[in-house]
Amino acid sequence: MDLKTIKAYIPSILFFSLFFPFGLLIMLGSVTSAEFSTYVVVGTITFYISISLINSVAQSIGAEREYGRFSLMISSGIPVQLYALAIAFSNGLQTILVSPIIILAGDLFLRIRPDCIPLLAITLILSIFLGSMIGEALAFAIKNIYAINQYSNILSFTLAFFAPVYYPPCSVPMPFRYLTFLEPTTYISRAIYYSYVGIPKEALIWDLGIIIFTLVLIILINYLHKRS
Amino acid sequence: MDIETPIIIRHVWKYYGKFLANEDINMTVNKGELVALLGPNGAGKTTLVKQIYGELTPSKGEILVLGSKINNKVKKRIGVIPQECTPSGSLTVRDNIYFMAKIKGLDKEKAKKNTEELLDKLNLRQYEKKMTRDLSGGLKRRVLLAMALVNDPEVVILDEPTTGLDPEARREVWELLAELKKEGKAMLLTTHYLDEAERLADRIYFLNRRIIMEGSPAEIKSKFTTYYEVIDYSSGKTFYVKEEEVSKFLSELKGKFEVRLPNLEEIYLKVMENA
Repeated sequence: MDLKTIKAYIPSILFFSLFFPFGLLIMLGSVTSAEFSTYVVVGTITFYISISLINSVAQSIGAEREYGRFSLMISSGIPVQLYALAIAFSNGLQTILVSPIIILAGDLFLRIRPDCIPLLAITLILSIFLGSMIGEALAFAIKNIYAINQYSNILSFTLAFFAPVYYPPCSVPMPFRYLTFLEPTTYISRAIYYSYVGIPKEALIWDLGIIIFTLVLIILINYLHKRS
Repeated sequence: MDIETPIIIRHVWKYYGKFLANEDINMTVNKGELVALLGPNGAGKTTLVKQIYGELTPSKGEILVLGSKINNKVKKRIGVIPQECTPSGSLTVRDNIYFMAKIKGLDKEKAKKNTEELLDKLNLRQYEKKMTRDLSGGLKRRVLLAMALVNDPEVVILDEPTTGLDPEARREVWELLAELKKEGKAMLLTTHYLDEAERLADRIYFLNRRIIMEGSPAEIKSKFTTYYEVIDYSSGKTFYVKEEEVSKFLSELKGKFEVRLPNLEEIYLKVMENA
């Protein structure tokens, strides 16, 4: 049912899935030296996971609850967690589709190619799941839809631009560098980066960080469900 | 299994932290009966209804729906319109109804058949391909009603189904509910419109955290027949006079007057005043 509603947003999906990532890559690529081009591609993928998933999942769940459709689903025998996951999945689908487009565009415009595609695929799936869980946790932690809309924007932009997403963590001065390890996007961008440059061991370590973040969020979401 | 009393509520208490929302609620809804739950805002009507369809769990007490505690199997046999609910705006009228049928576990053929029937029955055929976000409030409510009925439920729960509707749309919903009653479904309706309860309900429960009064509209009125309402047209004032004092009171009035039994609204106000 949620997948079918995507039809209603085709113009924005096309814009944000095609034109916007192309524009972002070309613009950032043109002002960055060649040695940092990998970071442009990695950062743009992470930016998409953060902005698109956290915002859309949190705001969609908030809206569904505001318009009584969560109640409608619960009364129809659909567990609330399952419905939230369905929303997260339908929103995640767009990110799943955009990621290969950014990867192809990175190759086309910046000549950056991933070295380890299977590992990149695993990282992207884990990252998309983590992004969905952040959005879901936010939606269940806050009851007011206007607050959800505001804080999801603030959080997603913070995680996209106040984390080492477009640059390595070593560029962040101490002691602020420690704070970046509290941001899940640091783990996502590092895991994607090491998949791109072909260091599987490093990529898997950062993937483990993504898994731990996801598990913590699942526990938090379960607690929030019970509380509500 | 034919169950004569599809909704049984026994000694239900509901707390939100320390706040008591429902206090020792006992009520029943029988087959073929429309029961109205009346009360002011914050009286605990929605809290009670949410416990019946399983969104909330009672702190104490027991609720039986179709003979058992609410579970996913039972939920497939009931129809619910939650408070302030709207159908999915990005789906067509037909899709909203059809997908709800699938969610309720109907097979493809049955889901299609029931969707077609309801499109005709609720006069939604001309809007079937329209996105529901483009519909009026009354039509959206009709779509919700179709969604609630698509599994041919034995129990229908409607939480303020006419709130925010214009008089014409309200009347439309009333007509549909009256028809459903004829089909023998057990229906529970929450409302704060007294005319709605008086017109539709077989029995009414006045709720203000706890049940304050219960009975058919006629029974409730008869409990208050010791009082008459006297409207003095010369002064424009309304008086509530005890039955045995009416003659004396009227003999003292100068000019035109009207004497009548109090309506449900006046009874409601009196009951809530003393609650």
